[in-house]
Parts: sequence; C-alpha cells; structure tokens
Amino acid sequence: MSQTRILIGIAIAVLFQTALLGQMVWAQITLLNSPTEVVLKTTPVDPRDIFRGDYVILNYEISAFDRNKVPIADGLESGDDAYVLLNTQGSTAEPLEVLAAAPSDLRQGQALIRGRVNYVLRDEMTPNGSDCEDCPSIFISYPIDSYFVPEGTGTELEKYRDERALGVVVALNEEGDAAIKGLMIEGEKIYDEPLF
Amino acid sequence: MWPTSYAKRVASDLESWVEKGWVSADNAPNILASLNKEDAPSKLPVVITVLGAVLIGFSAMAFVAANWADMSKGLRLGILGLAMWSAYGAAAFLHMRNQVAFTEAAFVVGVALFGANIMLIGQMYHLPQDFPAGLLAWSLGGLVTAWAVQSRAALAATQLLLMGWTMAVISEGDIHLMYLLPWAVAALLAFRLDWGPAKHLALIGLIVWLLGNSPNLAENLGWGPIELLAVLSSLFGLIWLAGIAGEERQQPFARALQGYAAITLLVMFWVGHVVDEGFEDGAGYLIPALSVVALLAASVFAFARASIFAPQDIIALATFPVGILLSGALTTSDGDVPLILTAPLLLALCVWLVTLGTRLHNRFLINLGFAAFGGEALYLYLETFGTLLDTAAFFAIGGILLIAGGFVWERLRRRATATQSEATS
Repeated sequence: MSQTRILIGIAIAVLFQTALLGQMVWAQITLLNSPTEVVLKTTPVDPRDIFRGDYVILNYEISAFDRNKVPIADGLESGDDAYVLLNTQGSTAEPLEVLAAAPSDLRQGQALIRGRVNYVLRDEMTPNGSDCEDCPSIFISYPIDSYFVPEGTGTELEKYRDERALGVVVALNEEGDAAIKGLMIEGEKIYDEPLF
Repeated sequence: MWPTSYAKRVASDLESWVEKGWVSADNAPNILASLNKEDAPSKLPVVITVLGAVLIGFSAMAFVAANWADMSKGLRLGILGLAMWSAYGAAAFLHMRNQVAFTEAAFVVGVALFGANIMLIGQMYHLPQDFPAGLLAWSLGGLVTAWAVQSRAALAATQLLLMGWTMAVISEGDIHLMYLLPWAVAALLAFRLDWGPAKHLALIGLIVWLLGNSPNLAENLGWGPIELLAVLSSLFGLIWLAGIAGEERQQPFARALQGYAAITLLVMFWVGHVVDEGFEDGAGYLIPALSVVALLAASVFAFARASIFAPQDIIALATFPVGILLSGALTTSDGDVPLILTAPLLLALCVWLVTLGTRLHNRFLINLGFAAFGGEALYLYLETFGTLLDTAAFFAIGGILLIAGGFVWERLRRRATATQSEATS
C-alpha cells in the first residue's frame, strides 16, 4: 500500500473506533442526565470479572414477582422484554405492575424500567418440575445488575447483603432504559457516580 | 537458514538429478550454496513482535480490571484513548520506515486497546456483562482496521474475535446467522491479501460456526446427538469430496479443506461411538438417511469424474455417518454403547485414511490416520482393560505397552511417510 493510502486507512480506523467508543459514552451520559431517578432495594454479591475487575452483582427486589401480589401481563415468555411500572413516591421505588409493552404515558409519581424475562413459573412448578407454592411467578433481569468497585472492596458492600439496607440510585428514561447513578446505605448516598 | 534435514535431502537428491542429467554439474554447487545462505527472511521476529503486541493488549485489559478509583473516569478513558491513538500513530510512523513487522504489531496493539476501551466504558458506567455485544463492537473495530490498512495481523485478530462473538451468541441458545456477514467480509479480505493463515482462519471460523450452531438447530428440530452427528458427518463428507475434487484441479486450498473435514469427521465419529444416547423419541432415520444417500450420490459422481478417487473411498466416506447411525440404533436403553462393532469401524477408517493419504501424497492425512488410530487404541485400552487391573499394574503395563506401541507405531509411520516422499520425488 502507498503511504497516502495507509495514512487514510489509519485515519478511517481511528475515526471509526473513536466514534464507536464516543457513542457508547454519549448514550450512557444522556441516560444518566435523565431527570427521572429512583432508588431500588438490592442485595449485593461479590464476584470478579477477569477483564473488568471486581464488581458486585446486584439482586433487586424487583427481580422476582408473585402474580398474587403484583399483576403480571399474560403471554410473557423467557427472553421477552418486560416493563415494570414503578411507584416512585416512597423512599424506594415499589412495583405496581409487570407489563409486556411500554405504556403510552406515565402518571405523576410513576416510572418505568425495562428488563428481560429470565423465566416464568406456571402452575406453581419450578423449572425442574418440583412443586413450589411460595415461589415467585416471574424472574426478570435488568441491565443494571453489575456495580464495579475498586479491587478488594466488593466484600465491604456484600456485608449489607443480609441487612437489606442497600439501595441503588437509578436514572431512567421514558423508554425504561436504566443506568446506575450511585449507591445508598440506609438512606444515605455512599457512592455518587460522576459522569466523567 | 534452511532446516538441516531439508538441505541433506536436497544434497542427496541432487546427486541423482545430476546423474540423470536433470541438473547440470555446474549448477549443483550453486543450488546447495543457496540453501545455506541466510537470505531467506525469518518469520520468527514477526511472530515474536506480534506476540509482544498481544501481551501489551492483555496488559491494557489488566489495567482496566484494576479499576483505579484514584483516577477520574475521564483520565482513565483519556489514557487508554491516547494509547490507542498512539498505537495507530506508531503504525503510521513505522510503515513510513518500512518496518513491516512492527507496523503489524502496532495495528494489533491498536485493536487490542480498542477492546480494552470497550471494557473500560463498560466498567465505568456499570454496564452489564454482555459478551456478545462487546465482542461484536470489538470485532467491527478490528474488521474496519483490517480492511482500511490491509493488515494481516489485524485481520487474524478480528477473525478470532468474530469466532468468540458467535460462540458467545450461540452459548445463549440462539441460532446465529448474522455471523456469516462479517465472516464473509473477513474471508474476502483474506483472499484479497492472499494470506494462508487468514484463509485457514476463515475456514476454521466457518466450521466453528457450523458445529456451534448445530446443537441449537438440532434442539429446534427435535433431534438427538446421533441424528445430528450423522447429518453433519454427511455434510463434512461432501466437504471432503469438494477438497478431493479441488485437488485434482490443483486448487490451492483443496488440501486444507480435506484436512479440516478429516479432523472433524474423526472427532464426530469418535463422539458418536461413545455417546450413550440412542435415537430421540419421535426423531426418525429419514433425514440422516437422506443425507447419507446424498453423500453416496456425490461420491459416485466424484468417482466417475475424478481419477484420484477410488471405490473404497465411497465406502469409507459413507461409513462415517452410517457408523454413527448404527451406534445410535444399537445403543441400549441402559446407555450401553456397541463399541465392539463401532470401534473396529473407526480403526478401519483410520487405516483407510493412511492409505488415502499415501495415494494422494498427503502427509497430513497419513499422520492424522496414525494419530487417530493410536488415540482410539488408547481409548479402547483404558475402557476395556483399565477396570480389571489395580492402579499400579494398570499404569505399569499401560506404560510399557505405550512405549512399545509408540516405538513400533513411529517406525510404521516413518516408513509410510518415506514411501510417500519417494513417490513425490
């Protein structure tokens, strides 16, 4: 290849890769700047990602629902998108309903979070076929289930596992996309994520 | 420097060529002298340099994983972003100085740092672990780089990333058709650059995709492992035939096609004859049987058209899927597999592979046949005799048998490859 062509090629590669990275950052910053902010109750577990370091897995209270307590839309199957309508008027957000599609508008004091159905229990049977009368009816995962922490500090957060005192501050947009803005313990913000 | 064995062989051949008048006595010393010259560029520095680049990439990933809380997000991103741009800047500088190997290494570092940046953004903004999406973004960055700068090393790295991407998608239980699009773009570049390793990676990528998707496809179709392995064996038998036909037309990649098909067929037959499952309820013989018929028809057609194809090849190729079907049909409901029938079939196929390799002057097939025969013999030994002896005697007798068997086997293998070498010279 001629020198001019290789220089143009390098410029294309650098621009493409930088644009892709820039788009990823911009999408997150836009989401984090959303005016809707809720606190979700969670319990953390401390694992490690070989490429991205230590993090805590966040198990949210809104990850599992009993259809006797929270209305669940019919027809939801594993792998489907599910929209959880939240009441944001308390100190922590509470689930109102599990929907199969985003509602056209939200009332005052409501927010929407989108997740994906992991599995659905029918006829009070677990996936392996055993009876389970008290099991939740549906399990949903959210794209906010990882919180990265400095090496070795994950266990500090994990000690709040049993106390159920940990809350995650989450920014939400109208489509139900979510991003973690910070962590709260017993109502007090302990981590506030800067945009940069 | 040429390998000593090669120089020795040419020296001995030269004497005979001079005697036959094929090479003049005046030129023989020049040919020998050229073998000892160190003017052939060694590929070792290139390999070492690219491996160094890979290590730098891993170092960047470890840097990300360390998650330095003392450093702001912007600074961390700035450092890795600047490092990525610097790698491409270095590549431009090195290219202008005609440092080909170092330029390639710089491109690999650039692609690796791009991946590290994706991981860093995921970490900084607490994005969930989404391997397929991350690997896709990384692969696309690599593919654009490889095409834009026509880099072999970036292409090879991208092909590996694409394989990682498809396996990540497949592991989530999906049938992944989208892989074929970037795979084709990468394969096209491999042929455009006319670079053997990238062509091999393209073929390996296709095989990985095909084999990776097949369990999910089989599940959707209600097939068990036996039906799936039989159909795949017929398919790879057809690929092998294409390789043999290509070899007769002296197409350059035909041998590689045969080699990969042979490895895949042997592995599938081995799995098929040890898997303790018969036919799934409701699944039938129809599609596997049709696939065998298609293979037989293609084999007969190849026999009629290609002179290097022999009747026993038709039987051998069909034996791969038929043997697997037989194993499935005879496996009892308790999971007892009919090794007494299928193991000799596999050993016979290994022997056929050696004879085919000798006939086609294909040393790889000969060695593969011997290796597979030895592997199956070892497996049978462990399966049948191991449980009857106590541990000490088992290892002692096994060791003696292996050493003796290895000695005899190596002599046989050398004799076969020597015969093949004589035939080619």
